[in-house]
Amino acid sequence: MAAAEFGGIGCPQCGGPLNFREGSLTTLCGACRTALAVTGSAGITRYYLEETLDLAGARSAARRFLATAGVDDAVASRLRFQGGELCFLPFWRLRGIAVGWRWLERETVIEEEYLDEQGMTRRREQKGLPEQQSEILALPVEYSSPACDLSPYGLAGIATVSSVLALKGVSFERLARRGIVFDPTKEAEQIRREAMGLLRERSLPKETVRHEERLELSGEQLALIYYPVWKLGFLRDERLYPVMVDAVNGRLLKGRFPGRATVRLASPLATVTLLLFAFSLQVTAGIVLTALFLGWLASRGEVSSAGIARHFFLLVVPGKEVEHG
Amino acid sequence: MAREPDLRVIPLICPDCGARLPAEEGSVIFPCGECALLWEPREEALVRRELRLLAGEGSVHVSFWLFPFRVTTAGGEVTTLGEYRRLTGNSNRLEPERQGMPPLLFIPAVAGMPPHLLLRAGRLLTLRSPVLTSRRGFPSRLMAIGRGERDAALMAQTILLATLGPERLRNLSFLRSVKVTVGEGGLCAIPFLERGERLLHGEWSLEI
Repeated sequence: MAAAEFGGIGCPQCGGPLNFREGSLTTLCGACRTALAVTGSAGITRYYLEETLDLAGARSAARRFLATAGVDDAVASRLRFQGGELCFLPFWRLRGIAVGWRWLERETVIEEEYLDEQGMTRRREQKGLPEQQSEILALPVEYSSPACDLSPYGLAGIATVSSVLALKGVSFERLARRGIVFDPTKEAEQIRREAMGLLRERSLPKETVRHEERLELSGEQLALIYYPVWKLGFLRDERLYPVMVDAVNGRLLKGRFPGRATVRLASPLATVTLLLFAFSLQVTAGIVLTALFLGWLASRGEVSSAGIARHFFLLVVPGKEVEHG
Repeated sequence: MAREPDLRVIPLICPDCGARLPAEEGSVIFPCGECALLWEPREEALVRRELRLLAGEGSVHVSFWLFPFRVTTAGGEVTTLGEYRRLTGNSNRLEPERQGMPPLLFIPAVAGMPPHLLLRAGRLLTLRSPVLTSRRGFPSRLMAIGRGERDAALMAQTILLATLGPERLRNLSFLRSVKVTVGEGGLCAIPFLERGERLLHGEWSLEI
């Protein structure tokens, strides 16, 4: 395959497509067997995961979900997706070793024996003098975070997937021809701060009263990985329902669907029949029954022309929307 | 955020002899077996790196970064091996001619070493400050080099602190005052004997 036919970086020797592994700074060209060193601008390597589902496959995956999710059967069978966009969502991955020192002061507890009023030996715990200690740290760092607000897409992380599947090197222009490439809004420096902050918090022993540390990140490997997601949508009652499908494994990530509608023929029919029957027996009975009916409507807060119309003419009640993700 | 340039790949082909360089997992510096040179990718080219081969008995060579250093602490400045020995509380006899030499930090450059072993190996060798005897040649078996000079220099302060006694480290003012300045780093290959999972240097009584 020529380099121009795929979205990634090709081998500079033979033009063949290249696969990369996250965290590895070398790769081997499958076509010409040349080993290659991988570098990124400002130390950031940029990769993407290739989609395994096309648009039709993504729609089928969404339909399969509809069949099991309590969505209105009529909606599910007549549903027509409108368009569909392949989106490449950015995630930061940071690896390295945090090295430095930590000084800390911990609470101590002293157990002491004493004699009570009856002369019995008892034990009690007392707060001792704080203990000061220091440690030299060398801790592995592995951190992953979305590079922008991805809450509308229902994808929280890609840690496992990106470390298992083969990655492609990003050539922005080629990738942008395949789908919408999201820009990261979180800067690399923020990711470093977040990762180190989390590490400090997790590695701090319990009962620490006071601490100070100085840590640096050595052997940093910072990668930006773009993950493919299909953004689908359909119109129903002039309302747009978005559906996000994982373009790697077909999982429905996030979506909202019309609920199962219920037909309530019995209620308006029963009311009309009862009222007619009461009036046919005696006008007073009819009036009393009408008053009782209005009282019941009032108790539900529906004594209005709209409420009465709803009770008699709204024969199909839309179900609660089904939300996923 | 401004659009950054894309991923770059550099063919690992020896610029001197054209041989293909082996790309072991985790490597950042690559040896050429044909012309006995080391190459490091920088920007879009391969740059030559010198390797100092140390004499000794062993079947496998482990690479270390050697940095001459000086330390500034609340107690003053340490610039010689003799002063460094006193700082660590090492009372072993040191040859008079080595007293005034700059101390050396040993920082493991080998790939895939777990952080705690890395710290231990660096600490033990730096503390021992062995006499280094070079020899000509290129190691036949060199473990993959997974740490560049910049990354190794980032570990300098931590490895130095690891060589100091716990009494000094408990003193917060001392810790705050420590500042390590390293000179230009050089790569060296130290021969080790393989003992199962462990590596042994008989002459220095060192096991990593």
